[in-house]
Amino acid sequence: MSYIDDYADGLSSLTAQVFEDEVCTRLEHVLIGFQRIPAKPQGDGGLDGFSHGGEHGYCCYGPIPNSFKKPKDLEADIIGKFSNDLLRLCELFRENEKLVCKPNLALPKILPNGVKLKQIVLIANWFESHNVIGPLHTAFKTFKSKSKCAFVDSDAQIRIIGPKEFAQHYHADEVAILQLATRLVISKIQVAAATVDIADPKEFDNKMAVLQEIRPDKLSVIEMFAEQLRTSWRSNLAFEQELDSTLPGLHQALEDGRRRILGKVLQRMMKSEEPWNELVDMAAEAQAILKSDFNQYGSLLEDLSLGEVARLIGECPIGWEKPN
Amino acid sequence: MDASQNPLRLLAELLSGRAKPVINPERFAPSATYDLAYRMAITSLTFRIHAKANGENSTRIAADRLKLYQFLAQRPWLVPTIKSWAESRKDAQLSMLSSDRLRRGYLGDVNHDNVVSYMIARGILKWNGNFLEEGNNSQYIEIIYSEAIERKLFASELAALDSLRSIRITNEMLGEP
Amino acid sequence: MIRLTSIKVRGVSAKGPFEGEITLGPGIQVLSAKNAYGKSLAAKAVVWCFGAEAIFGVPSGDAGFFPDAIREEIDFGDERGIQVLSSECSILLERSDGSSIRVTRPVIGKTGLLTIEEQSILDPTIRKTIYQNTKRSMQDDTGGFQSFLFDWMGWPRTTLATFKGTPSELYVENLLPTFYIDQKEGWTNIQALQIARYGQLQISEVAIEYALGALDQVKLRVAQQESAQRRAALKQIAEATAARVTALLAARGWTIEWSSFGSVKDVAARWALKGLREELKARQNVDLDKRTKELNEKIGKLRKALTSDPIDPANVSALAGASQRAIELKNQRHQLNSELNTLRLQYTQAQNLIGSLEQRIQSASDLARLKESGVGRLDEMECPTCHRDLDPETFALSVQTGAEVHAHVAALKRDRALMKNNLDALASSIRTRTSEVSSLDEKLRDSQRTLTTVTDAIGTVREQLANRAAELSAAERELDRVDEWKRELAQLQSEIDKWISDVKLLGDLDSGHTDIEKRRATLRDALAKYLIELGHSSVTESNVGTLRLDEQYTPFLGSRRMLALGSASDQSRLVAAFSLALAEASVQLGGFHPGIVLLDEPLQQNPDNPHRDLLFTALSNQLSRNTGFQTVIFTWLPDSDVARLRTAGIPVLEAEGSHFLRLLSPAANRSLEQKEGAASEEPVSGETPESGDSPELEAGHGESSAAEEPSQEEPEAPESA
Repeated sequence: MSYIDDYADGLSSLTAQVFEDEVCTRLEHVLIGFQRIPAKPQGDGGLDGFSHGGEHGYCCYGPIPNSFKKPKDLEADIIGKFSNDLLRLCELFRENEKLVCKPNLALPKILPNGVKLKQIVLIANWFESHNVIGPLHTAFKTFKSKSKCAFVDSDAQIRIIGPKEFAQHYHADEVAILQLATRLVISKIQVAAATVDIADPKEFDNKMAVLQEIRPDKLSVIEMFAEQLRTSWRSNLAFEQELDSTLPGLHQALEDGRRRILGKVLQRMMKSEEPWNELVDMAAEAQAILKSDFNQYGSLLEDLSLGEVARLIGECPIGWEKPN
Repeated sequence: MDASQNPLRLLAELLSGRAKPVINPERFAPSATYDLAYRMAITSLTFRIHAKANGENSTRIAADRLKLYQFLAQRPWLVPTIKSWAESRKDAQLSMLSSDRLRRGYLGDVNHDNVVSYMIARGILKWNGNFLEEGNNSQYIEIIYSEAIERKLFASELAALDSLRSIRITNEMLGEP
Repeated sequence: MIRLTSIKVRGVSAKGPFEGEITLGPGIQVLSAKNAYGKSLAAKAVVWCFGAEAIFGVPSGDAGFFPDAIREEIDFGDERGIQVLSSECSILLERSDGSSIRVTRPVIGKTGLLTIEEQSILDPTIRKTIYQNTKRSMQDDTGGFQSFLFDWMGWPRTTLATFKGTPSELYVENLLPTFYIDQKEGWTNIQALQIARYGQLQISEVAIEYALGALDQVKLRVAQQESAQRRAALKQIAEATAARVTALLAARGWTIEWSSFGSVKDVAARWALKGLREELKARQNVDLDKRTKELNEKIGKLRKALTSDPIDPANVSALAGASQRAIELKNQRHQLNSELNTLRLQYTQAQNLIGSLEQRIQSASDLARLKESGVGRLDEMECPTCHRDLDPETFALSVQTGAEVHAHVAALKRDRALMKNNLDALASSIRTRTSEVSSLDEKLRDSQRTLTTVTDAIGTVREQLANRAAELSAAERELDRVDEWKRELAQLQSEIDKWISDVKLLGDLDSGHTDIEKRRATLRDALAKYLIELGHSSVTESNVGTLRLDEQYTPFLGSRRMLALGSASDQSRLVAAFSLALAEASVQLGGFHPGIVLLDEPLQQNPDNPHRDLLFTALSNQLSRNTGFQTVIFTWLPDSDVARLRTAGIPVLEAEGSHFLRLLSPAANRSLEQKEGAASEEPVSGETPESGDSPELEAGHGESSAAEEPSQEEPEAPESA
């Protein structure tokens, strides 16, 4: 999986303010002169940021996809939100099915004097249907025709993009992945999930003891599992030390990969109703993450990948507890 | 690896439907090796101990030497390797065997290059040809050194740097292979 | 129960003989005298005559705790620093049946000897005997003072457990702190002067239980202590045995589970299930009996083959066979060595990895400290070229928080724990492989010997014979080895079996039943009464119900220790209350309290009015009633209090003059000499002026007797026992 896909995948799981923060942070890194616009206290005038001296505007929207029963509803929600933003930028307001003028008091203080928006990028965390494109373009055309165009150029264009397009266009790279992974991890901590608890896992032997309490009928299997895990973990430590001594660049790549693996574990186990089954595929996921840097290690890559997951279990970011 | 040998599959079989996963991202921690404060501290200590006088008011160290020494300071277990490399230089073949892994290691330490760039941007160090000298803000180096000595910090790194004094590393050894 | 009827201190100074005596009655009384009168001297004389000076922290026979007045120099009135030539203390004890003993002990002289003058109600003759109070005075039934005293007091002797495991007894010095409260340290805690110089366990509890008459409880306590000591000793033996078993078997490449984890009972139950040989058979499939049988059969066959079986001259396989065996063994050893080398390499690698982890843990910990100190933190600054903040991320560098560094340290420690376990496992594998190699080496040596023998033989017949002989020899050697192993295992097993039977003898004493709860309740009730009577500020009628005594007889009020409650005055009230309560409870329960309570300065020489009032209100009210035991309080009271107490019916003995000890007038001295029938060798020379009254509780020295030539009278030589 490429950085683009990785980044897009992570971005798509962010919502609301967190999504907006990530988008703006990325744009700040990539676009010289990108200016983020705070929503409070005076309001953002319908824009989340601008660049190119005020000629390019950006609007973000990150709904919670699972909160809609059907894709149609999500489409409608995205269309509705962006339409409102465009209305405000065009200084219009819907009254009884009609569009009436309503001055945008915030924009004069946000955009540089005399500058008009020539391009508006609408960035959503979900863009898996083209059904949003037509209605938004049509709406914008209508709005421009009714607007005094004080802040929006009459020839202004809009562009609607989702996570993948954003990642491609704004150079998602490993640094971006790292930053997104951190944000992802932090944002997940704040989400109350049905199946995931954030707790303070115990040491490895204690974890095995808890496992034995959960499955007293499988003591010998647990012993076998523990020994295999320890073996993978040990091999991983030895390999890491070797890398640290001889290939520090790869060592750093391994560190970065480990973080991404944990982020991936979080993502998948959180979303799934069978979280433990997700773990089974994690070694393969880990392999995919590490492949670009460690492909030359051949069959060792498989063991390395398993070892990384084993280490995450052994060093306790991943653990388990008895159900209540 | 077959199903019976895959520990993750074993774990899934053991826990599915019977336990809650507990994910604690706070428990995941990057290696302190990549922390800027740590790298700057080790680089400063290395400079402080191994830089030589250059005229009356400045000291300097070859950038390659700094890179090798700070690499070894963080990995004291490699000091015997550099020692045997230095001693085996008379025997070209042996020398190659000893040196190859080490060279690959420290030359690949891109993070150090970034740290040096940062320290230069901060004015702690500055370039003088292939050498690094004290910059306008070089008092940082002395502060770190004093703190390390007084509070007995980074003892193994300091010990490694100290042991390097008695090992003769020539410019030829530092050169690209 | 006994009564103390007289305390006397006397001696001879350079100015002549001196003496002081206090006569005491039954029940409660107060001896009122000012400071430096010598009240405490009188109190200490009681301790000295009981032979219990060890409670003052001095060796037996050391009178150093007495004031100089009876050891070195004494002042009489204006005459100061008069040399003391001899001195002694004497107490008179009366038993409830009317018999009495006077115990006299020199302060200067042979302090290890006590003179007992015994008079029984049936026989008015005074029988004088000298006892020793040095070593083994309890064990010496004929001449030991402790033995005599316990016998006369009707006190049963009680064996106690000690820390060292050697038996000891309860001595007078252990009982004294329950009824003698010393002026200085006695008021700091209940039984403040209790000592256990023979290492007796739980001596404070034992002394109280003895006083309460709870002999069964004392016996149970001692039995439990001895049992616990025995258990600890058996556990140590078990640990040593388990280590020997592991070492013996590991030396032969065998591993069985033979641990000493758990209580001795658990270990005994586990070890009794299977013997070493059975365990070896079950776990390692090593059956030494079967092996012996096989070897014996083989030896039998080989012997027969060597001596009587025919030999096929055409059979050339002997040499080849011997050679093949040697080759196979070499291959096996080579493989084992290879495995061993691999293990050693892994061990070295694991050690190196642990070393690097240790170093990284230290470095990360130091980094965390550096971050916490803030040293080297760089302020924000702008890049001079692009005017952007110098963000480390721009340089592809990262800054970690202190929390992240700590998390990293924690992760490294988990890695280290993993590797340490791995190291231990590798070490164990190396030990096992090493012993396997060693065992294989023996077999290889045998096969090489065989090969040599066969090679040296010329001709197929001789080769075959040589081969058979070599095989027989090897089999016999192996049989010797197996027999040796069996003997070693049998020896160990026999030690294990003995150990198991020792454990069985321990018995189960945790649930012994005695009437201690009833006795403790009696003491508790008496204590509650005295605490209220003496006016302890933390104890009231409403909360006294929460008063309890724990297993160590420490008083608690609710959940709080009483010693921590109230003021400094309350502390002395608590000690007084406990001492009196113990005596009263003993009377009620028929215990072995002597029936005397001596309280030296309960007002601690600095009485405040309320404190004094409380004490003497208590004395007036409750304590003046016949409690069945004698209480003597040494203190000083102003005239008003003296009058008040006397009105309440409490005897108050007032000191006259300023000192307890008084230089005797010649007449008084002569009278004394006549009374005691002393055979003085030189008459008192000169006359001494009248110097005062009889040596009762009056001024000790003050009215001066004019300096005359000192009496040359020698102290009485003690009679031999």
